[in-house]
Amino acid sequence: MIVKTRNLVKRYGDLLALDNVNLNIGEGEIVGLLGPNGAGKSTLISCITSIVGCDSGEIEIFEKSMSQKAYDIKSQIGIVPQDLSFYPNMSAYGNVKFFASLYGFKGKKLENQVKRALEFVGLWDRRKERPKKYSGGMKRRLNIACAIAHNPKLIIMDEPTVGIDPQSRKHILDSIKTLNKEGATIIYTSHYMEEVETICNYVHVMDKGRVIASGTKKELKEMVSDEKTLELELEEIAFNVVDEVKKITGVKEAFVDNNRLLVVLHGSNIDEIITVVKKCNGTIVSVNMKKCTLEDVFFALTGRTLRD
Amino acid sequence: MFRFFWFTLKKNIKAVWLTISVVAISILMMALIGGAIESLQKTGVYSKEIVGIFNQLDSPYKEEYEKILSSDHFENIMEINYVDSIVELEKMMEDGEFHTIVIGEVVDGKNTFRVESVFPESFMLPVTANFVQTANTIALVLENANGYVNFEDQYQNQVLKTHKLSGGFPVGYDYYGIQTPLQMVVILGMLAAYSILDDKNKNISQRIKTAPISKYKVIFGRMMANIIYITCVFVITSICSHFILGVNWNGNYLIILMVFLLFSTITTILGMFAAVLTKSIIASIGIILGVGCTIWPRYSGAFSPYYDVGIMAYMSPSYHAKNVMFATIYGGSSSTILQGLLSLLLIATVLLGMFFVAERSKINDSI
Repeated sequence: MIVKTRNLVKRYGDLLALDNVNLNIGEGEIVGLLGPNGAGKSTLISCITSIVGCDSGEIEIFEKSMSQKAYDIKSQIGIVPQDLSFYPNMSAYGNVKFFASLYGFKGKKLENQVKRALEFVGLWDRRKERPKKYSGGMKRRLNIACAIAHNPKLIIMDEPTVGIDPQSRKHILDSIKTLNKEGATIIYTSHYMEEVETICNYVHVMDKGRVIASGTKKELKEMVSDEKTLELELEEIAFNVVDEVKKITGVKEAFVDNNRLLVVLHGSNIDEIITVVKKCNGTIVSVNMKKCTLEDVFFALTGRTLRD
Repeated sequence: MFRFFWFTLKKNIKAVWLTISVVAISILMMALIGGAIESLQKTGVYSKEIVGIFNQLDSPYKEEYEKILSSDHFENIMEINYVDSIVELEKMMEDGEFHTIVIGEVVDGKNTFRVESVFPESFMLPVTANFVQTANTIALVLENANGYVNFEDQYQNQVLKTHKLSGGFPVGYDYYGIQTPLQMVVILGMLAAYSILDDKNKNISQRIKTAPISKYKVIFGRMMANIIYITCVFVITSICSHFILGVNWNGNYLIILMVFLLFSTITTILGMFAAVLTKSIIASIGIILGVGCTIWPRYSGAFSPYYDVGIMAYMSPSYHAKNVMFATIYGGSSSTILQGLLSLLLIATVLLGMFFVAERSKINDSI
């Protein structure tokens, strides 16, 4: 295991920020920490990286006990903080160089590491510019470059895509996949379930300081339900179509919403549904299968949406 | 540690306008206040000098001396008090009740004067010297109570020599030329505060905390950079004051540099302590201006050469720094220098201890 926590507890006064959190993160995984704001994701990361001490519990990283003075462990961790974390008046090159130098790199080796990191995030050509002139997406990419210049084996990303355009988001998500392919284990926190769904192969769902569910995306969805919603857009809705569709085996519910027929079903009996609709003189304009999402999982587990 | 040292030093150097402003304002203050005070001191308008006198000279010198002092000429510039015992006189001087004391007694068969004053140019010096000149057999010994003027001379041939040790008494420009940098350069303590708070505000402390580097190396790296920088500003200010206003810095340069270094250390720790304590740059500047630029100088005589020497003065690094520099420039005793340097070291140590206590108590969200 790359990261292992046992009964981690952290309090801020009366607030129980982490409540007996147990995590196991294996090598080479991209693990998502999913939860709404205030769920305890950032606190968990701060405890794992020893930015703050925990009140009780154990943390092991690379099978060694983590502490503030565990410099050998720290040298293999890269952290991308939620807030931008660099000097806005210093060049991008200077920023990455400074942070990489804290990990013991010097001279030519340091320069190579800086170049590699800036090329990786696509900022090498604009390395001499001050980040305060960068767009939001570029700043986020620099935030990542500062964290990866020392080739960390474990990269912790705390909501690295907050407030950026879709293009930059895609670039960052692709970068994360590349880093993972190169061998880094990644912990990714977000309250954007789409992102976690896209890149993570294992997810821990957090709420109110606790890990309320863990598993692969498939496992989590199955935990909630194997239901799907078929959405058929029709030119005209026949009066008997709902009743006819409901007779099909596996169809749990069917109803009409404007010119759309929505069918909640188990299994994969889509062909039969389409046949029945056509028999009822329905002209199908489009077909859309809505699968269960992590958002649905979270809603089922907590009764709240991620953005509540 | 050296990474943070160079990094902080480079950042400080970029604050060039702040540095130029501090140096320029210091010189301006020296010129305005020092010049004004110099002229006021020389004309005697500045304040009434309170003098204590123990007079046990032989007759007729005793009567003659008191007769001179009772003249109307001195009424507006001096307040004369006669005291019956030397012990009482010296105690009253220590308690700050007198600016100047004069002890007139017979020593080894000679009528002798000893004059001690907190004023660089006490009127009792020329008055007593004139009396000695006219009274043929009196030897005059002049000393300064503060230790920075150690003027001892057995006047031969009954002629008063205006003997200037290492360039003269600290009056006007000379006095404020030394006081003003001590008062103004403290402002640069805000750079030390900023070096901590800037990282915190930019969320960089989080990145530094996760790096494999000791917190103490980060602290000492930044501290050293600020100390060196502030010391350099001290040196620049003193050189400028010498060449522009002719301020006398002609003492032991090594001792002066040691004072600069120790005072810069205290200034830096004050700034960092204020930053950890308040977590706000505005509040930190407030503390630096309040403590470093107002309270400390107040008890070292920066606002007036006539100041109270009490327990507060001993807690003021400006007081000790000034004493050491006056002592080395104007031939003060080595004990004064040693005492001042040790006091500065002690204050720096206590302040450093306070800083670490504050830093540890806020370990989760400071450096």
